[in-house]
Amino acid sequence: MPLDPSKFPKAKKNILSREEVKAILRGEGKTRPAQVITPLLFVPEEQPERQEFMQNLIEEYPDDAVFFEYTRPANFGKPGDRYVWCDVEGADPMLKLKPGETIGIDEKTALDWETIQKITRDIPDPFAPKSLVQNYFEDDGRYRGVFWTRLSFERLWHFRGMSETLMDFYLNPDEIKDLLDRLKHVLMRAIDRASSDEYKFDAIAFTDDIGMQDRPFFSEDIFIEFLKPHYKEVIDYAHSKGLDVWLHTCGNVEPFIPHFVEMGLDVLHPIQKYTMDEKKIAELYGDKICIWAGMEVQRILPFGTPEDVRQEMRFLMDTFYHPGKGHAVFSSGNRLGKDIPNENMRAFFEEMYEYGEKITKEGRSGNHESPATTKDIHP
Amino acid sequence: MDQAFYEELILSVTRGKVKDVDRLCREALEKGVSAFKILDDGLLAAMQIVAERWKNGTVFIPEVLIAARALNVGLAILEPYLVLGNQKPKAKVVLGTVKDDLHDIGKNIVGLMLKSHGFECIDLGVDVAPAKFVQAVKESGAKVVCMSALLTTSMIHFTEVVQAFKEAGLRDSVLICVGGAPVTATFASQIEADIFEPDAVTFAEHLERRLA
Ligand code: B12
Repeated sequence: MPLDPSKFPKAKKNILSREEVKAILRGEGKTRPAQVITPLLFVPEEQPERQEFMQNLIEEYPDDAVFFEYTRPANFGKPGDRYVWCDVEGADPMLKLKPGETIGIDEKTALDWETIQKITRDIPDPFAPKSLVQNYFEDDGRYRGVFWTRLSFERLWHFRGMSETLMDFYLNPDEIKDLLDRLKHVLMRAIDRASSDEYKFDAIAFTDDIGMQDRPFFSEDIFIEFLKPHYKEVIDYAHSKGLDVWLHTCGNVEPFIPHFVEMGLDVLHPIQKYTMDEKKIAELYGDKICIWAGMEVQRILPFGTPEDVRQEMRFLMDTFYHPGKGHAVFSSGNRLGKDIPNENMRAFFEEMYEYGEKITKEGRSGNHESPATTKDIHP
Repeated sequence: MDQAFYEELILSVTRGKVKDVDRLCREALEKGVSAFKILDDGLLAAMQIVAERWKNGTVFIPEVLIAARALNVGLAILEPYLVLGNQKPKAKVVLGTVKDDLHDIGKNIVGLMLKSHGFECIDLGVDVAPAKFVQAVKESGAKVVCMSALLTTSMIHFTEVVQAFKEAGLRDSVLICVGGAPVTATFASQIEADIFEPDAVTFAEHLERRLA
């Protein structure tokens, strides 16, 4: 399907085609950098003005690749339900708790292993819902994929609670491996459907936050023992079905990056600022994996000036984008919160396009430093 | 008990071996070792090692949690024997995640570290309104208030809590401590917090020094 510009009447930019984005991912991109923000665009319904502002902005600056959020299975259902994470009768811990007694995802709502073992093995079935994704629209020539949030570690702690899961790596390792095995089959079925003639997607994107602010959640040993083999099988399977694999993980994941490279992950998001040294990561791995670089959302986007945001964008592109090759696409580091002023939001979209055009025309990146090197940006 | 005993106890805690901790603590008590000595040279010494490794970045949350779990098993056994003689109890600390914020893992780790330094923690949970912090201080007589925030949109509530303490006339009788991933030293001083540290271990040490 060739790209049809008339589909984007308000666009202030030319939009990249599927092939152009694919070329960027492979390090053969001759175009300006791609913008891929929408999976992170989240505006609560109670902010209608913000909704309208963001809608306009995204019509002026449409994404160069689109991701559709997957249809989420319910956490709990009844026996026989095909699209729920748990179909064990009466298993929902919330049934036994008073409102306000829990935040919904920790020790008080952790399922015990006995209950988990009773869950029907092949649910949720990604072929069960009417549509695999939400807000679907037909192919318009852009690169497209499904955005599947909560890959594996996140899924584990949605079952077991965060603290329990982290201890399970030591205390119940076999149970964790068995649960990961089950999850793997769910993900493979999702890949089957995403790549089928029904959607013909180019990619599957996962989120799995395994980094914290100052270090990963767990050691490299735990990663190698539990998650790496699991990720690898999912990635290999996606590749065998012709899908690229994109992964979002928050925080500091530096020790894991060489493993991501080794297992052939295509795209990694966001190299969270203040948790890792972007230049070092770009130098070590920039030619081995496509970075989905994310503008920082804890300080710069909410509390910087519009000029800080622009400068940070230039820094990110100088650091990660290689004109004539690509190997980087751009977005925000995480969901765009309500504390980001509209001026900053606009500066973010505009500069991504304008500076991307500039370095592509000139055939080389500049040498901008991050505003964070000279300035303490904070609320 | 000899050196080898304490080495084994320490290793059982750092490895999270609950059964061994249970057995070793009972054995030592039976042999007439003071509960304080088992606590200091065994359980707390082990937590100190874990804390040191956390600071150096060589352990991660799972190792901290399994050690804390083992520590708690040992504490429960020793507790009846830990009658305070001339030992002064350490300060009481009120701890909670601020309003609109549900992240509690960091706060829980702060609580564990404070506990392993001997502080008594009153944990108010998550999504804690300013008035609740004040009320807890009034009821417990705590001298320290610890607030955690993981969202840039919730850390503004620190200010409201500081204000609530001012209004209650209690601002000068409590140390207000703040932390959480988005919090910076500049922000902490701007809102007139007394202590900020980026991680739980450094914080527990800092607080201990401050109150010494
Ligand atoms: C786990 C997690 C969750 C879990 C929390 C589960 C739980 N039981 O806590 C869930 C899924 C509920 C969650 C929800 C959300 N989250 Co969240 N979450 C995280 C994540 C991945 C890890 C946080 C964590 O536990 N870290 C581990 C602990 C140990 O670290 P820590 O809390 O920083 O604590 C250490 C220090 O800071 C310090 N410390 C902590 N407290 C204190 C207090 C004092 C006094 C002191 C001295 C020190 C101190 O000591 C600790 C140990 O050293 C972070 C990512 C990240 N990079 O941090 C995002 C993150 C915090 N979440 C984020 C967001 C946006 C959300 C949501 C809004 C998402 C959404 N759209 O629904 C919701 C908000 C829910 C709410 N109202 O609170 C963003 C916040 C961005 C921002 N602008 O601030 C983050 C940063 C992700 C990101 N990169 O954007 N989240």
